[in-house]
Formats: sequence, structure tokens, C-alpha cells
Amino acid sequence: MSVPFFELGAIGDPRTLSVALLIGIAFGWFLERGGLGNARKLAGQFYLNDLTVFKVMFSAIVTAALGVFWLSRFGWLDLSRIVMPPTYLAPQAAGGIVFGIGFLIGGLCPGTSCVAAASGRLDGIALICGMLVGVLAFGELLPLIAGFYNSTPRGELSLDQVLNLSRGVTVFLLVAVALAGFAAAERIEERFGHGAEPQS
Amino acid sequence: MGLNRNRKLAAVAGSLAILAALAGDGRSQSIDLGRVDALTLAEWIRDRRPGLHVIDLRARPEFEQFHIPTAGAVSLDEIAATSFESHETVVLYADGGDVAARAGVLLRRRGLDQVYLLTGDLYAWLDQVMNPRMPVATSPGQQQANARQRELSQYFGGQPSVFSGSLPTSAEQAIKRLRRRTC
Amino acid sequence: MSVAVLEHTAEPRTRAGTARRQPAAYLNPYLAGIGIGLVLLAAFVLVGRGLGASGAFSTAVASGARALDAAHAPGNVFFDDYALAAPWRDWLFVEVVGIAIGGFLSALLAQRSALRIERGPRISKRRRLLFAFMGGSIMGFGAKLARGCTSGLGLTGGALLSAGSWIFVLCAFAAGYAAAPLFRRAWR
Repeated sequence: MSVPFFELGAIGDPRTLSVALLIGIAFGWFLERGGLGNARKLAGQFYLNDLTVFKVMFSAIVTAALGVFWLSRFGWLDLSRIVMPPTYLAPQAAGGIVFGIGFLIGGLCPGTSCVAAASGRLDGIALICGMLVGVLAFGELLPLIAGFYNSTPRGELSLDQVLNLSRGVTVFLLVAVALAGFAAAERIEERFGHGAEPQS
Repeated sequence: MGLNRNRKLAAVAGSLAILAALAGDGRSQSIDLGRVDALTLAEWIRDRRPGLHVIDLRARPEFEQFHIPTAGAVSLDEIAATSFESHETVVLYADGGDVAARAGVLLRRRGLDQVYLLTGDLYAWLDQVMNPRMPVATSPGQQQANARQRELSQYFGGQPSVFSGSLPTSAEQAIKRLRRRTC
Repeated sequence: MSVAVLEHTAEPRTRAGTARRQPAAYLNPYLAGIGIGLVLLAAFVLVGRGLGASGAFSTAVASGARALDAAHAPGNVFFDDYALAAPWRDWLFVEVVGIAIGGFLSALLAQRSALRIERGPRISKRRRLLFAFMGGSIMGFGAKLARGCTSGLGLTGGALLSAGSWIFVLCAFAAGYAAAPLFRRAWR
């Protein structure tokens, strides 16, 4: 039988909510373990002295992408039943830019802000409050920017379709770029980072 | 020490990636099941499409409580033993999960051609036929779509209503809304 | 390879005589990333969806607004989609609560829990909190505009090779690097 075993839990099936909680706990655990609950560490990404964000994020993406590919290849995962984020070219580019600026100023992203707040970091709490305000502002302004918000839809467009390559080759390219990035990151950190932290 | 371990991890990732490039598609030979949306199924039932079988895969008590008109109750276990003529059309639905898909795969493997899954399962029927909320018609196309939906809904004893504002007009959108956003 | 320079995030003041244990070292980032990748994979396998974060904030805001005023912003797709009578039964909402719990547990066990403000050496606490709030509000807007954040688009969309997700990630990083010189005083 192929997974996913059960649907998205549209109406709060207790089973799927238990999964949600466990998944979230594991996610938060690893984020904190990697140091991503620390805004200074995260901001260090943009000053080239601590590229932890890049390393963690892309290791995660590569792991999951390889996992998805191989599970699907062996027929254990039905890709067509995984919810894929839809592509909207302009709003996602613009939103990305806005998000990146906010990320630099605040030093935490939505997920890591919860980790920070839960570790007692007051800046994390301040950031969460800010995000609620920002989200509300968006909601109130949505009628005005709905045209842009819904522009350039491309459905569930994937990189392999854009590049016109097979999924496997696309995954390969992704991994290759990530590995090259990791090698570069190590060298950059050695040059620009001052004093590395003890790591296991 | 850390460097060695990193190198090993990189080697594992790299090998899996190279194999992926060689493996190519990443999709096993999956069975393609047809899909029908709730409004189209409603038309099929209303127009008495010949050879149509609507199968409800849920448990008996739920079936008794409400089911799509003309549907028959067959459980997933029983489906394997049920036989259909090759020219007949079978539409399968449950209430979420992959039950309908599994039943569909079973029937396809047995050689039945016209197997369809009701997109959005029972929810779509409830949302599109029994209790549709239609946006105010701002174009002839929308007017036609509303009229069609209203007619079908009333045929099955549903209660259509009209709202101003952006509301889903297809089962896909209704289910998306039902499922909550994913990010 | 690494000089053993300890984290600045240690040592809140302790009473004389009681030495606080040193905070544990961070996990190797690659291992942490692999861990997160496996968690993401588990989500795909178990419930057919990935991780996310910003959506929970949307649910909180929309549900709260409509709870205070049921007729708020009628026909506004954002409120229509995200306002729930019982937000604690929303998958994403529960997942984000989990993130907080997981972060709390990990910090506690690693001696990294501390009531403090992470900030650069040249910025005051007040300013840092202000920047955190500002940055958060800008990010909240950006995440909604892009229909996701680094967890939902970056990790989940990235692993699924979604084109829009990768556009988002590249633009976010590019913008961060571009704006970095302007906020140097805040962090370095």
C-alpha cells in the first residue's frame, strides 16, 4: 500500500493532530539543537561569519528531496497526493524580497522565532508579536493588492518541468549545487568567521 | 574527525543523487485513475447515464445516514469480489483518506476501464451539490455556471445560495479550502 | 579544527557558589539538517504534507479577528480561508505549537534556556526588541505575500522542487545580503 496513509486531517482528526504535534516537536528540537533559535547565529548568515542557516536548510532540503525521490521511485510514496505549494511568480519573488529584509532586521524566521521564544528569548517574543501584526496588516490590505497577489499563477510548477529534465537529474543537480555550496561555506567561514563554537 | 564525517555524508548524498539522475523519472508504474467532479457526477445521475454504478465505500451506518442518490454500499473488502461488466462506469467515493483510490486500483487491475474517483469524495458532493455557495454572477460564463449548479442542486434537493465575494466554484477549490492552507 | 571559544549565549548571573553548567555544544549543522529532512520526510509519508509555520500565524490572526467580530472583513479571502472556530484543531497550528515545545525541551536539556535578549554587541536591548518587532512585521507581510515562509516554501517546497518556492528562497537570501550592510550596527 502506498503512503501517505491518511489525508491532511481537514477537520482535526485526532490521529493526524497527534502526528502534527510530534512532527512539530521533532522539528523544533532539531532547530534548537542546530542553534537556529539564536538570532545572532541566524543573522551571521548575512555577514558571512556563520553559515549555519544555509547548511541546516540545504541539508534538510537535500535529505528530504532524495527521500521523496527514492520512496516515490520504489512506489512507496504517491507524489500526486502530496500537497505541493503552488507557484505564483511575481508575488513569491516580491514576498521573498520583503521576507528577506524582515529576516535580516529581525534575525529569526517564523519557525525559529517559536524556538527562540520557547527558550526564553525576549527578542523572539517581540518578533512573534511583530509577525502577527504584519499578517494582520496583509489581511486588511489584501483587497487592495489582490490583483498582484493572484497574478502570474503557474500551478504546481516544478523545477524539472522548468528545466525540462527528468526528476532524477533535477534532484542530482540540486544535490550537486548543495554540496558545492557546503564546501564553499566551510571555506568562507574559515576566512570570515572569528572563533568557531565547539560542535559535536 | 568532523571533516571525515562530513565527507562521508557528502559521499552518501552524492551517490544517491547520481543514482537518481540515472533512475530518471522518479515515478513507479502508477495506475492512472480517472476523476470526476461532483457536478459532472450529478449530471450523470440525473441523465441516467447507462451502466453507471456509484459506489459508497464507507461503513453501513454512515451510508444509511446519507449517501449520494443511486449509490450502493460496498466495502473495500467486498469490492475485490464484486464484478462489473467492462462497459460499465464505476464511480467510487468515501469520506477522505485513500480508500477510494485503493478500491479504484483494485478494479483497474481486474481490467475494468471506466473507473473514476469522485474528486473530493463525499465532501465535494455536499459542498457542490447539496449546499453550494455561488458567487454573484459578473459575467455570462459565470451566470451559466451558476444556473447549471443551481439546477443540479435543486434536482437533488439541495439548497443553493449566492454570496458576494470570492468563493470556490469547483470541487478542487472547495477541497483546498476545506483542507486549510499548507504553509 | 575549531578553537574552543565559548558561546556568548551562556551564563546568566548565578548566585555566588553555584556554578551553572556550561551550555551544551550545538549539533553539527549538517546533522541537524538531516534530522529536519527526515522529519519533513516523515510528514510527507504520514500525512501527505510538509512542514510550515507562517500559516499558523495566519490562522491565529484570522480566527482571533473573526472571534472578536464575526462580520469582520466580509468576503476577504484571507479571513475566509484562515478563520476557524477551533484553531487548535488545525494541523499547522498544532505543528507550530509542537515547534515551540520541541525548542523548549531542547533548550532546557542543553542548558540553553535563559530569559535574555539575543543582540549584536553594539545595539541596545530596547533597539533590538524594536528591530525584532519591525523585522517580524515585515516578514509577516512578506510571508503572506509569498504564500509561505522558509519552512513551508523553503524546506517543503524546496524538497518538492517547487519552482515558486525556489524563487522565494533565492529572493529572500538575495534581499537579506543586499540589506545586510544597512543593518551592520545591529548585528556586528
